Amino acid sequence: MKHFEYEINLMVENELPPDKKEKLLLHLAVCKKCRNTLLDYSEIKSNIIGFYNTLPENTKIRLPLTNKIRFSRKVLTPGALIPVSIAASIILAALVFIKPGIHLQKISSFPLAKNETAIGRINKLENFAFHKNRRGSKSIRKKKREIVVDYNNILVFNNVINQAIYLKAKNSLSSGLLSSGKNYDGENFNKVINSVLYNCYNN
Amino acid sequence: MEKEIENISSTELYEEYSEDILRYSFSILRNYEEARDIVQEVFIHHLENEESFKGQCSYKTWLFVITRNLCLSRRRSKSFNNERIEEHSVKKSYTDTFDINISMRDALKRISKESSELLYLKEYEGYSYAEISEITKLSVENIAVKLFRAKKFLRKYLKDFKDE
Repeated sequence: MKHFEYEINLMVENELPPDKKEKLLLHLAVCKKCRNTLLDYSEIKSNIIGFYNTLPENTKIRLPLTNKIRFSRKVLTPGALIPVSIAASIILAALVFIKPGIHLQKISSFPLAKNETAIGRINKLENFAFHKNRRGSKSIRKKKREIVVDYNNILVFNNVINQAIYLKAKNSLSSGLLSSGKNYDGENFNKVINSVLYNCYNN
Repeated sequence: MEKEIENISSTELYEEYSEDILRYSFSILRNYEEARDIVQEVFIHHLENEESFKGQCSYKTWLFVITRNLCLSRRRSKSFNNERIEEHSVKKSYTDTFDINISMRDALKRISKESSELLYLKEYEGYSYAEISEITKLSVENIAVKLFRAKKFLRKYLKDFKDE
């Protein structure tokens, strides 16, 4: 008797045309070997799903100051451990003793997109500070310092999106590229940024 | 006619798809730490190029295409450790499924990375062959044959594992 392993695989993957599926089902009714094959392929499918479900979740917060620098194993060579540990101590001391300020001076190299406006950038920036809930009203994120913290002019972001959006907005506006719409010059922009950050700190 | 692009913020995209992108990049790279790095890079790339997204496919497909390109580029780089699926890639819990997850991990080591990627897209994400073709640029027939070979291998491998 001819067996249909390839077609059975297609059926499990929902890729078998209906007419062929009908014929295959008739065959399966009389062929034990093919029924076992069907069970095996179904099991493989569920095993693959199970395997990927066991991957640890992508825990957030693991961001360096810039996109390209990562404190990974590649950076932490034995020779680099001493300066790194000194730097870590300084940062730790800063975290303990320095009150977060609102002087944001980090400039990045994210250019302004072609059809983007100053208002668009500001809206984006505000979108990561505020959640719009399903009813459309805005609510401030619950956790303090979830978005960005400025420790003595060092910015620490909780995820790469927030970092990138902030830096894009900051750079575009401070470079004077965005002057249409409202008059967001550098100083005004900093006020907007700072008010967003202030809300993050205090709510 | 070009579809109207749904207005979704990058933060929402991140929250919605970062886990999927992590799994997909893991299926290509087989290295959890590298896969996590790719998740970050995908969203940076998206932010830098979002104006080039014209709505011709879903956001998820768009992000998967970026993921794939970045993973392949990472895999070609000299610094990439090519051979391991890290131990912590499987949660260690003493359940009935633990053994089968370990054996699945071992089995996935033994098939090509391309097959591993295709298996993820088909079995876990549930994409059709046509959708996988859109992401990987492989032909539908090629995808069908490669998937069949990979699953045939997995079937034999897992059968031997059970018989031991």
